[in-house]
Amino acid sequence: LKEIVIEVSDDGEVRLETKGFEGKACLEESQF
Amino acid sequence: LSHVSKIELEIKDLEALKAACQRLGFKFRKVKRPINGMVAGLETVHYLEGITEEELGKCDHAIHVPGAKYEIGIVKKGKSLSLLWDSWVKGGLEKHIGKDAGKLKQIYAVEKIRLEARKKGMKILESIKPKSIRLTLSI
Repeated sequence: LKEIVIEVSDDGEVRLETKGFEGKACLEESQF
Repeated sequence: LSHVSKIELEIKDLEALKAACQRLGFKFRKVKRPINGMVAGLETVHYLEGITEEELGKCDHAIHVPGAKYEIGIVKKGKSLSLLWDSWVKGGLEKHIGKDAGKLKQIYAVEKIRLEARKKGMKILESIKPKSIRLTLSI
């Protein structure tokens, strides 16, 4: 399973974690 | 394999900002006149470098926050949108949008991510935590 977990704090800070991706695919899929 | 990154938030998407306003119960409008507010003094005004005192309050769009006397201005600068607002306590904005507009930025980020995730056909799961909102996107 490929997953992107994004935590957005109440001060607007964004933390992103990708799981199950290989190589540069995680960068491509997490472009927002 | 797992990768973790922190991202600097930049507001660029007007549709996501409108969606954030709707979710927060704020009214988004295109302005034909200067917005309400920004009279308390420059020490409480959150504005952009390069904007003169005369330009304050003259914005491309505005956000009306029910219960607040002042409004938030939106200024286009290149491809980015900047929020222009006055945190003077009697203007009432900070109570609704958080310190440094953190709450508004948070909901903008959530709506922008949801918009992009839908375009990519991802499954979206949202959960509210005490000080954050977590989005789990799966493919």
